Amino acid sequence: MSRPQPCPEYADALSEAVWGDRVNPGWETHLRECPRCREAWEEAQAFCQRVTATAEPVPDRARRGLAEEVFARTTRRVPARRAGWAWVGGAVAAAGAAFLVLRRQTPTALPEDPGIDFAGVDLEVLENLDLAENLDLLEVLDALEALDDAG
Amino acid sequence: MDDARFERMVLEVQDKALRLAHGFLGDWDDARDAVQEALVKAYRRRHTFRGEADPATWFYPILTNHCRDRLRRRRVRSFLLPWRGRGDDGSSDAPPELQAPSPDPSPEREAQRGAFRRALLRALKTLPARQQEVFRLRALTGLSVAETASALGISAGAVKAHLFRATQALQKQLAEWNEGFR
Repeated sequence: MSRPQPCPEYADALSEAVWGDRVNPGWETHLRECPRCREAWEEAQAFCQRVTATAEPVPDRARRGLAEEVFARTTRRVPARRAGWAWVGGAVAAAGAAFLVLRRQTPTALPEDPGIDFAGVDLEVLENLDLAENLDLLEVLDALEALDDAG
Repeated sequence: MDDARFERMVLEVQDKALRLAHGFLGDWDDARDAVQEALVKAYRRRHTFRGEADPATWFYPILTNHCRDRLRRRRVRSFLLPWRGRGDDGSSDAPPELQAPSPDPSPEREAQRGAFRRALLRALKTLPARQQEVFRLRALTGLSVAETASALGISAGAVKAHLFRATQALQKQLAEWNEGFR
């Protein structure tokens, strides 16, 4: 069976009308007057409606979050320079934290020396430290002198 | 194009862009990846946008070229690794599979629509490449004539001519469906 063909000068107009584009103003008038074009138009319209019905709506999973992912990679992306400084800042912070931890584990002051308190020592004694080192001998001499005095 | 305008464009075009990419690639996950990559590419080239043009018509050629690149890579991959050419369900990489919405609960109508869809895709593959592309973008994706022209880098007149020829050829090949649906 042969398909109805539109008048050649209105072929473009038929195609435009079928797909919903801007229509040649003379087309509608011609359509009312030409049974051949009317038949072609009806058949083409039925075909296009069937084709359009096969189009699938965009599924949610394809659309969801797409724009946000694009923005994160473009307009809202962290600039490279700031990212570089952030890296340096992070390294400095890590080094600081490591320093504090190590410092806490290492004794910060020497234990107090319970032996000698130099606060009350005379300058003269300090100057005669060599005598002080022989304190035992001095005590013996003191004891001998005490015996002489008693004798 | 400033960042705010770019963000507006992303929100405006994302649905049509997904359908366009799906028309080329036949898979929604691939389409999503392609749209995302193309939008990032477009952002890097935003200095090429001329203010007087519609941002969508500026973006579609970038997306179309990106989809073609992906298809080429896919073909090379399936040539080199033929066992990877088909998915688990046996579906081929090449033809975009349209899936009908199901507003009609009748299983008979749904089956009829599915059969028509398969026949349409088979018939579409017999057309010259340019007619296929025009038909996919204009008739199946729903781009306007101007958007289709811009996406393919051809004139609006050429889009109309290809669309007319494609429609005629498909109607002829699918003539029995016209009878069946009446």
